[in-house]
Amino acid sequence: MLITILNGNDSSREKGFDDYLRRLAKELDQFHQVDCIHLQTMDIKDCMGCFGCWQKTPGKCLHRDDMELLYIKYVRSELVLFASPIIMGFPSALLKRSHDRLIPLVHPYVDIANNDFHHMARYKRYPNMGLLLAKEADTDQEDIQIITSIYKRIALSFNSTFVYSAVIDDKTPEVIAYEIGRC
Amino acid sequence: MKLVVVNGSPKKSASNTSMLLDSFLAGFEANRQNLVSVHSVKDLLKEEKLRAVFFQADYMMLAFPLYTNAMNAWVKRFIEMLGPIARNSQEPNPKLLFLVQSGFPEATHSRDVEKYLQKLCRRLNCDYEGTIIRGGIDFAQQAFPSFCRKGLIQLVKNGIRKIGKTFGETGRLDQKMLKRFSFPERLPWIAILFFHIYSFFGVRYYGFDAILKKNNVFEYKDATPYF
Ligand SMILES: Cc1cc2nc3c(=O)[nH]c(=O)nc-3n(C[C@H](O)[C@H](O)[C@H](O)COP(=O)(O)O)c2cc1C
Repeated sequence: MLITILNGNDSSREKGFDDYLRRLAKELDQFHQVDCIHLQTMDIKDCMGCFGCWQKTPGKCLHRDDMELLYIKYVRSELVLFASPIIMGFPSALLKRSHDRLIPLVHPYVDIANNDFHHMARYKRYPNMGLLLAKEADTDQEDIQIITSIYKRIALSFNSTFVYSAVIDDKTPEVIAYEIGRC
Repeated sequence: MKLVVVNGSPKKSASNTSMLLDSFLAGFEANRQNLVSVHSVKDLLKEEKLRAVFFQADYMMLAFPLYTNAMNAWVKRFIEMLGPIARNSQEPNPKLLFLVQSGFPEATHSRDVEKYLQKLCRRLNCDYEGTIIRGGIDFAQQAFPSFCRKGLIQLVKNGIRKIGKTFGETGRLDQKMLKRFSFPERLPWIAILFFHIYSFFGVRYYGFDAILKKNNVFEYKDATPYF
């Protein structure tokens, strides 16, 4: 399986998080092709909400930055794992920036699924989505539920299937690699 | 009452968030004793500035467009910066209220982020005053002919103006008004029926196709440049 891990850790204090993902990637690498991308090292600009990617250059964002590389990786992956420490009850702004920039990958045309509006697919297939979180001091089960619920909606919006979520504080990289392999 | 408004849309002009805020504030300022200052989220991403603005307010209103089912990255960064300021403050923090507006008309798309915002207030040691949810402004602009579009948008503006007026008089968001204002929660069957009838006659993308044609890119509408 072609797996892309997007590391949204933007704090040097959370070095443990990067180390954990490195160990996880190594585990996964035994059976899968893994690419672990640290978003902090990339030049990714914020979405400006201009809708140029739908109205002026269909399917293509007007920003010229490292996101172009990520789009290519994204559409070719079979599983994309969004990974971030929780900061103020939600994954980092750095990770969110990459989500906001994903809208060129879907079509502006809408359809109805489960009686809600959603955007239609632009590509024939999309990767499955997964979520890896690290708790902050006051994280509780309700926080995890809210985040997971939002990510399930994000998956639906991007014509993906949400297949996996884990809190890394609770599991070793070996266990997570094993569980991902079974998705 | 001193209200600080943070506009979380990155757009400089023609922003739906600004349009709703203008109407809300027109209602709020009907009470002459009320004071308002409005800031773009981008301008508050400096700690000192944020600190000064935050502590001058009785209420802070964070207004933003829904981006991929949550707040956009600008707003998330703002929250990350506000966290330590609000948590470590010695003074009483302002009360918080929110405006979330989305492209799709159903309020259900914004309910998860509403839960997040409510919990956020507890994290920040701020009282939660409520979340105004309104979807479908973009949708109305693209899916309806201009004569109903204007009427619909005026209806929305009047609705939020009343919410702002009541808030300006009482310091409370009226929950019944919020519920009515966020209608529909889910798509009503009649809308789904119309959508399918539109689709059958091939006109459901009329508004959007017109934009693509105007921009001379209609033939590229299904482009897949990254595969
Ligand atoms: C990157 C991006 C993601 C969006 N995601 C959603 C979404 O998940 N659900 C939705 O209903 N609208 C979504 N929208 C639409 C915006 O919420 C809508 O266009 C809004 O009115 C924009 O507000 P503004 O004009 O104040 O920036 C998205 C728009 C952008 C640019």
